[in-house]
Amino acid sequence: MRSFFRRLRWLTQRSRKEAELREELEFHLEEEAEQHQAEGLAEEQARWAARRELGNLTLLQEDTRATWTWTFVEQLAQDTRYGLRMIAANKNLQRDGDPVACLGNRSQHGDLQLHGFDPAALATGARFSVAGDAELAYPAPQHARHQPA
Amino acid sequence: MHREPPSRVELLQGTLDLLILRTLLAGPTHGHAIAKHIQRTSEDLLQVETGSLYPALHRLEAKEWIAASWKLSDRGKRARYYRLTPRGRKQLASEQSKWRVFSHAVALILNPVDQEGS
Repeated sequence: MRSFFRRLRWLTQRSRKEAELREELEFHLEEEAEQHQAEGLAEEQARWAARRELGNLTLLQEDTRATWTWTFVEQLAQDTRYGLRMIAANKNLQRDGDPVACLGNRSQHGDLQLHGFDPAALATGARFSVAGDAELAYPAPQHARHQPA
Repeated sequence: MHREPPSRVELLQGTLDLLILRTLLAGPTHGHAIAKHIQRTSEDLLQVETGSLYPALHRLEAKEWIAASWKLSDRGKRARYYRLTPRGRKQLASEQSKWRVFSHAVALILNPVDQEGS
């Protein structure tokens, strides 16, 4: 819960973060320009080359801002899912009284699938997100799952 | 003088997080240095676009895998330095492990010499 409020506070400090992002990108530009100058470009050319490499500054700022909100929402959803799973597991445990059986029930419902490790998604360059409880979600090795009957 | 880089490999989405976390294992540094480290260490094969780097850094910070603070750079300018958090360190170990499994699996498919030869 403390983590939730910390994230919420972090999210609300938007104007400060906007200013920091601008300063951070300005620093990046200066570093890049200095590197170009060290490689032999004139000051103006170096600055222009750095600016060109940085790309669309407005788009970059928008993309970065989007991560502030999106990551918060994503993590809130993960925390909620995790909490609900824990409640469900506790209920199963109380009902069945057997933690191993309880884990088996979860496995049947696909809770022990590996989240975020999708080679197909990697190959296509799609987003590769990792669930917060990835260690819980690690799958059995392929050879173990595909043993002949 | 400017030199043309060798043909670069497109960075698969998702691997950037891993590379950033691994870079920060060596110690705190700023975004520009992270990008240059990845480029240099990969022998210029990987170039991190600024448009991907900063959203990734801020996303990792929001996940509390890295933390940022302002410090003076080597040149005496104020820069935003990122450092790995304990959660980030744990995440790095997990991601490295997954990456090894994934690359091993792909290598088995790309190099099926043993299976085809037998």
